Amino acid sequence: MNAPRAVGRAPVPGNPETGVEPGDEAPQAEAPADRETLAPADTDSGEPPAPEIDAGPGDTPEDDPEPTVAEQPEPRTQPRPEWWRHDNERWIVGDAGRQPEVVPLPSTAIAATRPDTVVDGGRVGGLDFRATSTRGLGHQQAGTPRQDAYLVRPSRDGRWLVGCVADGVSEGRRSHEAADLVCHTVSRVLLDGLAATRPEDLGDWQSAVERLPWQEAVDAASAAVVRAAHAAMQAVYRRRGDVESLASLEDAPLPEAAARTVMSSTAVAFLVSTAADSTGGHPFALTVAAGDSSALRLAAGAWHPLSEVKNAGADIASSAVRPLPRAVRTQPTSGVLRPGEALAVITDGLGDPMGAGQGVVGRFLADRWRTPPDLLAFAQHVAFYRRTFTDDRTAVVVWVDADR
Amino acid sequence: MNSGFQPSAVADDKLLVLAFYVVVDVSISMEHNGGLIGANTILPTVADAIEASPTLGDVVRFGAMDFSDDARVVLRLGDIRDVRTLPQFTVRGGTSYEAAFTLLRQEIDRDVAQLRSDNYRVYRPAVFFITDGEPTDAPDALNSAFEHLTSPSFAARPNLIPFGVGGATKALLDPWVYPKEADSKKSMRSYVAKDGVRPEDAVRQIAEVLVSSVIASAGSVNSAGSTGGFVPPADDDLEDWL
Repeated sequence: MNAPRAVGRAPVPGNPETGVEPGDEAPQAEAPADRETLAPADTDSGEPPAPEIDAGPGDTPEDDPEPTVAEQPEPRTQPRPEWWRHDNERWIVGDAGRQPEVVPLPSTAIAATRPDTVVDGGRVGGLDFRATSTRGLGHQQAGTPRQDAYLVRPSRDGRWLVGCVADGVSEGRRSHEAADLVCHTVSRVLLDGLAATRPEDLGDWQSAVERLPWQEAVDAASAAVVRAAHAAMQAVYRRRGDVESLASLEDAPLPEAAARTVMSSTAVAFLVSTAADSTGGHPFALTVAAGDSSALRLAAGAWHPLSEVKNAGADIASSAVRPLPRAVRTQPTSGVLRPGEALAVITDGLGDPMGAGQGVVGRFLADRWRTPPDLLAFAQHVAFYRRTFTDDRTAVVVWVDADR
Repeated sequence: MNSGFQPSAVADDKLLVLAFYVVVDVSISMEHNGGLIGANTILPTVADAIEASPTLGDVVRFGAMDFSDDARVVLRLGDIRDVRTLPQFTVRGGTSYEAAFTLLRQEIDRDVAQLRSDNYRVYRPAVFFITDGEPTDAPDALNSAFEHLTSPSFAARPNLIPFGVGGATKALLDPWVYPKEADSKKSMRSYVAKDGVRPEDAVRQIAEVLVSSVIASAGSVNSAGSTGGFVPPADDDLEDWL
């Protein structure tokens, strides 16, 4: 079965909490309150095919003697569930299509050591966060690396949670490097900017946000990607012994457009105050620096987009993006998260099936994410099957505890 | 759980779809030069590729048309996995591009409306147009059919890629490329078989190239990229073509 491979490895960048081996994952880790949504999956086989219905008995993983559906009451004539688990443990939202048939191949040609899936999470001050980046079925099927990345870093004084979500653009073979680089660079510049700001200088949040170095962060990220692309091209020319191209590389700085053919990435940078302000809310700010990654707020079970929703109202869809490196003008958005609310920063791998969050994917995630879930369960929520959506998915979600 | 359905919920539940059409010249010369034998490898090749990839079949819809004096739907746009017996292209008569363009406009209109009402997020369709010679149409009628198909007011105007074998030349095909460089950053191009390549072999190569393009396009709608939907054939894959 696919399940163990699909979950992948969960390395622990600076977070001991994630040091859980994939094999330790408890299949029943969902909170009891979640049960009600797991209505019997075999009520009907009418419209969309539900793969678990026709899966033979041999398809049940040996380590899971009790399929989830077995715990449910007798099948009755009730509405078909909107989401359920496949026999391989992965969530299905609405319609899996043939996605459960995908057999993941490791990436061998490039980035062979890049983990399929990474997970993080923890509590910082009044915030809980969960983060995951998981390789899409398209890349799994093709044996190519995950090109998404994220980074979440508490500031040294613990007052801020700073992060970035990035989606390496598929045309560049090394775009996964751009995604990592963008996350590191943007987060570092923002953290430096915050460290240089005294709390008493913050004053009004909106104007404080505008003084933070968003522009510098994004410009530095573009420059870092250009340098990395330059180095990658040098390495290739050297290996080929292409003296002429090597020399031409030295003649002039690498144009951003040329760098983008080697690697490029989208970026959303964000920061959230770990301490509540005088009204009990947690100030946050973010900027969509490039491309179609996005951010939403989850409040009272409903999603509210904080950035443009891709293809909203478009007659004919398009997936064109304008990634870094390039000259962009940053425009930060700011707000305050109230107790019980959450901020989600995501790549389009999740944003596309989710839209503005009013559909079945939005309902699924809002239901699962009423409170911070278990780390590995969170990764599974992000990695649901949904027909035609096969991109890498990345999500960083920050909750403000309702009771604090 | 299903109550409180809002219009935006419908919008957010959309699945993706990519539509491809192959349009084949079935004039008598296409039978004489073997082009039709090659053309009849296209649907089985595409069907095999889609069958072999779980994620491809989920997103790709495929249709086929032919044209000679008139144009006909050979395979209505749909999931090729649902087709029990793949139809064949069979020879008829002359070479009316006008008939092909007019039928394309009509079918795309209809198919896209259907897909949208089935709540799909529809990308711009792609048309692989295969011919071996000059159209027998009156120029005015032909131009007007092409303009109707590619009019900016037609939201689903397709990417149009002509492939020429036998007597078809670049000069003959280039007017029927869409979008052209002047229309879009993402322009398409025409292809003609190199001298000495048998039309049958050249058209067989289109089948392979079509599959690569379908795979790349399916990847592209699911990945941040600048291509945005349809990915045209890679020139490297077309060694027998100019």
